[in-house]
Amino acid sequence: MIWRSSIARSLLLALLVALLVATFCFWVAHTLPGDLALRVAAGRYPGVQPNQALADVVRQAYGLDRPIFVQYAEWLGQVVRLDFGNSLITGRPVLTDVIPYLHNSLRIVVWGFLAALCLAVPIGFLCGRAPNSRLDLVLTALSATLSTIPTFLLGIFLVQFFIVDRGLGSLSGLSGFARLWLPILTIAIALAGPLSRVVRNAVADVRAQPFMVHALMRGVPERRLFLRHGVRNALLPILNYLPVVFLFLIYDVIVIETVFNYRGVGWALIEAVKARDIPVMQCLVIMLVVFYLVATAVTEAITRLLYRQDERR
Amino acid sequence: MNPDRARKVSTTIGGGLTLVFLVVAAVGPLVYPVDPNAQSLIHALAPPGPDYPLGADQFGRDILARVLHGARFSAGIAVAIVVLSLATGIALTGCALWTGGVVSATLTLVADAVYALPGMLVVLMVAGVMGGGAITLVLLLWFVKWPEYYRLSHATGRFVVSSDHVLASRLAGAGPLRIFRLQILPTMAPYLLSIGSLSVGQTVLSIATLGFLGIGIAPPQAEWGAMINDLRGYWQLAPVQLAAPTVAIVWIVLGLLVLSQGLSERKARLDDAFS
Repeated sequence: MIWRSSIARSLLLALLVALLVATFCFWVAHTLPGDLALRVAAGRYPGVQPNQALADVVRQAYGLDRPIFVQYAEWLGQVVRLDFGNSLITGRPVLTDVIPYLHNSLRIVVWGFLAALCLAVPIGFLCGRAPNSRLDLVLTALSATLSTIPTFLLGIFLVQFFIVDRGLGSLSGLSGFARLWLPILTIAIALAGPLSRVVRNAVADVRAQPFMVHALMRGVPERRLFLRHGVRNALLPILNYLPVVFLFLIYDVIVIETVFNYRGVGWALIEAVKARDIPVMQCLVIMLVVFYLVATAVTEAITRLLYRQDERR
Repeated sequence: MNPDRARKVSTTIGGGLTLVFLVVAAVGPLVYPVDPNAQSLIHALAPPGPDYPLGADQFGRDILARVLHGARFSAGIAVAIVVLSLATGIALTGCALWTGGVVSATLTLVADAVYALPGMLVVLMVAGVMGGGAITLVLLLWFVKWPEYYRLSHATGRFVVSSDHVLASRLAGAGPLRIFRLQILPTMAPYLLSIGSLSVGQTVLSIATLGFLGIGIAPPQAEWGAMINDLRGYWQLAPVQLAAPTVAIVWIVLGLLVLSQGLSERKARLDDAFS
């Protein structure tokens, strides 16, 4: 069967996921109680008091009285061309509103992800090098406890501890070290818990492999052995886990931006959902999903490139 | 500590924490019959005392009563979601294993697609726009969670189906349902139990996060995440009130995590026995 082949299957899955999410976006807009035409009218003609006559005109003009599948197909076509319509709140095209949020989010996401790697890789390596040692048990218990604390509690606690009680940082503005360091640290801590455990297990597994034990017994220095043969083998489970990390990253960004009142994509998404600003919400959700799918695909491509020979064998 | 003892210890501790929590969630509101939504503005942010064992929130609502009702709400929803998705996953696995071929491949593809979906994003969007409520949350999280169990039970069941004891049972004239119940289900059970108990904790976390974001829960409903969001501005004035729902969340999630750890080490021994 064609979907047994792994590249075709990955592509098909990504397509299915994107389509599912888009369908949810469309469905939500259409099942919301109230007249859709009235809402669209308010969005397309900002400044005009929306009324029944205008709603009827819009219904005709935008074809909202046509069969739902025709509308769905047309809407999908617009989404593919990045036309999300106008925001129901500001009246401006959605993309012009959303791009600055994206810019703000990327700033904390990229640094947060790098900081998480800087925390998780050394910690995981130290634990995995000596599994079940005292250091390993303490750090594992710590990361397990940390993973039971929801990200929003972590954020609230850090805000109280550093910003409110000690004045180290600020909760306003959009840039500068004082504003950004704590959200970045929160993302890093939230992601480092699960990530460090994956690194630990990967390192511990590789160390226990017969070829590693054999080389150690033959007297190959541990550092050289690990750098030359260990890293490559330990990297595979870590790369396989990265998509899950990207997923956590999306969820954490939504929560952390809300806690820190930071105007990024996650904050905007919550605002749009609460204000029922459907076009903005659709755009943000689809954007986040596309980010996730692309990041996953890139990781998969890297994995394939790195382990090409293994697959052919 | 030897692994066997570690397993027993973590099963006991985790099971104990979980059991105490479930009992408190079930009987608590009966033993302490205070209305969690009764407001009394003169007692706003009242410190812990005889009238308010854990203090009152900014509307003068009793925190203890709200934490207890919140426990009932979160635990009830989380257990309902996990049981529903577990049943769906197992039933579909049964279908896939029995029919095989195109049905099995298609079911697996659908499960993989839903599994690859950023589930909480969908839940957040739909529950947020629709206004939520307990039923909406259960249905949405059910939709998002069943593939996890399908994938797990299908992955373990696939190997059991081709094993000798299943063949023997078939030769003895057992029907598909009987084979599934007596031969296949017992092999999956330890895995599913361990993942299931972990998943209840994850679901409690998800619900608390949604509540904190103000999504999916209708306002007067006592819910921990929403309570924490309401009280987070009163850190200095109401530390106990803020700590109560926090401790409740960490308690149940940690208890279930430790329990699932203990159960999964039993699974590891099972793996050894099979290899």
